[in-house]
Amino acid sequence: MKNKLHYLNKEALQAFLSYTLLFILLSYLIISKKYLQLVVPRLVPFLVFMIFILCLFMVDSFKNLFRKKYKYNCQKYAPLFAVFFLLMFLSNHDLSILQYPNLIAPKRPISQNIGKVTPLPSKTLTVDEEAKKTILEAMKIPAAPTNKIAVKQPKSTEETVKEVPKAPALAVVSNKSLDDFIFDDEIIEQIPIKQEANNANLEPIILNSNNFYNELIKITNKIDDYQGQTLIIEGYILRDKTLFSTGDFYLARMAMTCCIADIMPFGLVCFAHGKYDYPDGTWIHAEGKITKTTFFNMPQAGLKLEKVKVIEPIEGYIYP
Amino acid sequence: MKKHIPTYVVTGFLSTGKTSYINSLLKNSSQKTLAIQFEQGVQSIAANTPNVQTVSFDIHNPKDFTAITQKIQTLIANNSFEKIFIEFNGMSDFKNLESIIFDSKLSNFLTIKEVVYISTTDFVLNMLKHIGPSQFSQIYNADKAKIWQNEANKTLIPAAKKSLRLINPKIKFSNGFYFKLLSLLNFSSLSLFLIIFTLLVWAKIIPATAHVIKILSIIAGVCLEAFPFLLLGAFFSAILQKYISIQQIENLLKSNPIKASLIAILQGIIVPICDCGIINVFRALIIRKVPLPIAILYLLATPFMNPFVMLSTYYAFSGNIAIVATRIGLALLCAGIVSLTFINYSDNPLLKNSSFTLELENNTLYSRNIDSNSRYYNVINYTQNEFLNMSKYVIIGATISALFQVYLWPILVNYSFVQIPIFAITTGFVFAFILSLCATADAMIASSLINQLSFKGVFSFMLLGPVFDLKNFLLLRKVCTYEFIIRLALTIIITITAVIYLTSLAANFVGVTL
Repeated sequence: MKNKLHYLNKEALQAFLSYTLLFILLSYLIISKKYLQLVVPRLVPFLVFMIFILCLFMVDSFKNLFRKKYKYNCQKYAPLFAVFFLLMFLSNHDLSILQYPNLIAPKRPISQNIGKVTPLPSKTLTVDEEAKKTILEAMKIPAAPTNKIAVKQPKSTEETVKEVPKAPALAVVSNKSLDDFIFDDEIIEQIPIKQEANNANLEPIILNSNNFYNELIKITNKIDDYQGQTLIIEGYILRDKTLFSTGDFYLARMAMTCCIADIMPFGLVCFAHGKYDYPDGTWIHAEGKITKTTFFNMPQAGLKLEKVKVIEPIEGYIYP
Repeated sequence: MKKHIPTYVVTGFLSTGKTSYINSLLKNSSQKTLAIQFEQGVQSIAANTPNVQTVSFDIHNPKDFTAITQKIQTLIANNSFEKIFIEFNGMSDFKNLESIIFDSKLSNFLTIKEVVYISTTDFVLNMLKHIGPSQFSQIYNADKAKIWQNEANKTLIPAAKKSLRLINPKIKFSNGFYFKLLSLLNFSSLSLFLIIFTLLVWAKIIPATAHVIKILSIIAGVCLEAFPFLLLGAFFSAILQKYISIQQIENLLKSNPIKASLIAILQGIIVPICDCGIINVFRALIIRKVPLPIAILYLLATPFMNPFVMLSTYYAFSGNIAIVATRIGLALLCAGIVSLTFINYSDNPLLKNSSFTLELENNTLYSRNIDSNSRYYNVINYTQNEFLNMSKYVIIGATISALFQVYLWPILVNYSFVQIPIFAITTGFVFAFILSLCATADAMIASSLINQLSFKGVFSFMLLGPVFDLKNFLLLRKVCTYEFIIRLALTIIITITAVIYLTSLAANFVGVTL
């Protein structure tokens, strides 16, 4: 044994250690779904590829463990150890603080439910499902199978929808100052009433973590078909003083496109009509009617709030 | 326990004066010494010195080491040598010496104290780059170098030292200084610092404030995201190097420039390598003698042809197909223009020693496999090296952009840069460069910046980011010469600016305000 140790290749040992540790940690992150705190699910195949290659590396470095060399380059593996320790630390740490805009958690609790952060990130997906169930129970609608999106397509109505001229594709921003774009409640009132009445009878659209992004995009793209339909949405309040003067706000969730470096709030405008004066960052369950508005000349979906309830923050991001 | 005999190894190319060096050391020595020669030089070691025993071997057939080690072992057992000199073969890889000593019982009898590399200025400056990796392995493993000096070559010594340091940054010169501190200030030390910092935060010695957590998770997130693509790129370029011959690539890419360009552009849809992995493939392409404009076209077009990039752009701008089309169209236009400007570029864009150090690193990874000719082993080794080399730059890029995002971004993002278009474009460039976002994510950020940067700024952000940012720059720096990188960066920036201005002019002409 002593003889063997004499031959130990320090560099191969470091390599073997770093590959093995990363291999175990990555597998753990994927199995426990904790990777969702840092990167999007789309990357899983690539992470599995990395695990596979790390396996090959492990075998290779193990084979060389007892082949002594004159010179070792041991700094080479420092980045791998650094990433290992970082991931170790972060996977054991509560990262929910990053889900709030501008690093601010809700400052003062409105009710006792607020500000309490559920500690387990692995609950990510279940919390939402539970929330959805309670909503459905409250509304006495039979719960749809969990994996299916509980959304019904709006029926095509005979009513001719008033064509709103679409903004030219690239006409995004001109040199006007921001004050010209302040939202006005009058903009909304151009909905054909019959259409709205028709849509009001449709089943409500319920947004959860899985369909939040796609549904909102769908609604925005075909806003004319959705006007007046009920939307149930959960998110936090995000105010922008330069855009909304009348106490309106964004109801948003943090969206992650690729990794934690690019998270940003994503949501829709809620017209509060002066009510619901919750502070920024409050998580609410909101119910309202979809309405049409414009944002820098692009048609956008808005929500006329009808029912609002303060809820516990939802763990996890939405992944476009 | 047996006493280990101190052993001194002298390496260097043929007829660079290894034997003279050993003789000069032996001249006044009274210790009983064994001198092992692994080649037949012009000069013989210490022919007239009584307490020196000389033995020489031929190591041209590398399978034959057992006979050599046994002979040396019996010599050592029968005599009580106090010192051993090894004059190593100038044409042989250093790993052969390691095999002789470490893979046999010899390592129980002797310890290598020092490895000296002997050379002349003429050899280092003129011949080194034409000799295979064996010389590089000898230089890499040397502790000390001796360059013969005379009146004629005095002025060339610094240049020769510089070339040797490129291969072995820690080499000491018998005539010169070496600061140990310098070796601490390298790119790996940031990783070490990060480890310590993380552990301190973990131990709650440094408070885990929101900023600290955000910085750490951005670094971890970017690395977790970039590493698989880095590996994919390294793996892909390893396959390219080891499985596809120069001939095959020539047939595919050199016959018809238009066909070659189309392949360079369109392969991105099939092989969606992210921007971190592309640089490895770029280097492999250049080494495989692909024409430079084609390689550059590949480098600049692939990030935009990635289906994920197109999709994320589509989503980021609320399903606005026109913006996706404009982005891809302008990107390909820029890529085409930039690559056209390189048609007459005659310098080699790669660092002089790039392909050699690559070979060297493949040889000097911890392993010394006997089956080192197998392709599988080569691919694994190559991938490992590329991955390890590049990973530290990813960490540096991630750290800088994390600091920028946490401390400067909240301040900058509240300003409106729209008023002066050129200012908006410049800001777009700066943001894109420092943030170093993945190509699949930058559209999201860009769409949120439209208030501050206007169309021009947003497009400068989206066109530069995927092809040239901090992370890419650090990776390119490792592979290419500074002249090439600066030339490339300037061309890209000027082209993008011009293209954006022309597009907005054209749009104005058609009647769309941008």
